Amino acid sequence: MTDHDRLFKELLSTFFVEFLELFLPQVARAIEPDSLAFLPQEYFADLTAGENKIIDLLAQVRLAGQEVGFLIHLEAQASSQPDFARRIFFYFARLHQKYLQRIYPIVLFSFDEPYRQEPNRYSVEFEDLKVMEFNFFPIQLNRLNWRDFLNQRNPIAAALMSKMKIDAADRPRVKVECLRLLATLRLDPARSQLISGFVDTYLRMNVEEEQVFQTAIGTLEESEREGIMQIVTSWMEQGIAEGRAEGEQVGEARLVLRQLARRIGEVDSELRSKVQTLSLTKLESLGEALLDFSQPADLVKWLEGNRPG
Amino acid sequence: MQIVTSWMEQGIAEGEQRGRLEGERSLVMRLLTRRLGTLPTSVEAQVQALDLPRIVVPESCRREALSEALLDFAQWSNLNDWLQVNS
Repeated sequence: MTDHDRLFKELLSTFFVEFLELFLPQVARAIEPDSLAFLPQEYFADLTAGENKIIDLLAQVRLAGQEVGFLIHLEAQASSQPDFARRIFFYFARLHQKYLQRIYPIVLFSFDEPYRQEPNRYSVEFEDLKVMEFNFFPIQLNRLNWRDFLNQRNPIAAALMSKMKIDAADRPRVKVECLRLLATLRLDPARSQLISGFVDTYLRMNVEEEQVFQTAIGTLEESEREGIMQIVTSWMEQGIAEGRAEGEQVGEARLVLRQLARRIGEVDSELRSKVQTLSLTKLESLGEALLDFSQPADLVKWLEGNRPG
Repeated sequence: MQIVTSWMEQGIAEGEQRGRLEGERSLVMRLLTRRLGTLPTSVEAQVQALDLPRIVVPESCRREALSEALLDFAQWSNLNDWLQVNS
């Protein structure tokens, strides 16, 4: 599973109901939201693709006010592949055989290209007999216009706008709109980070785009601007905390090396790299020890006595 | 799953820079204490203040000079002299 697949799966499983509300409102209305339960992962030996296939998401739902339930199979597809509709039919058939329930198949096509419409039908027929026709519900992101989703108060819209058809010049604007929409939803921090992380992953700005992005944020009204800044800041803070620990070690190593140079002359590259990998605690004791160093051999001896681990 | 966003990368870069300064400063404080004994609060504050404002500090920064100068400190007056010149 690639990072891309994982990201989609996490997004779709976290916001499954919202996903249905956005793209399949008729299904969302018909089901009992509380009845939603994800079934364990299904592994299939996929002979045509020569790999083990894991079904992306399989959800059990019940119709509102009724005992009867059905399954929803949602597959996120990151590339355009020949015979894809047939594969989905095979998965359908195996799931159907195993669960003996109705299955609603949905495919979310998430690739940037090609733009042409993906087939969503697989049939077996003869001139005189139509044996079967299988259809799934297709959502092809690169054929959707992000502008149509601007006012959808839905976290899935905020995330998936970043994967829709976007003119290169609009990329910074779409990123702003995704985050603006996200900020209005007031999700809890973890969910908010999932969406903003998704958006940032697919809308990475180059230097020029970043400038346009910043300028666009500056023109928003204050509450929206603050909402976006809060999202950005929470990521920055997380990064700062992570970078800080790393930096402290680097800083101390740098300082110790400078002091060593002054004390015992320039340290050769092998010893230098040994010093650079010392832990913070070891660096501190080396810092103290070097006050008494007078020749390179003192450092070698100290390092021998303080091997890591 | 762990997502590393562009904003987080910016934060990491900034955090590393801060961390480097903090690491250097805390080591300097430690070594000064080791050389000269526990620092009086007023002197400690003076040394801490050398790092502020917390911005990119060039290689030739004073505090780093202190880190090397302290190798030759033997008494309080050495530090005081250094601070007089560099604060």
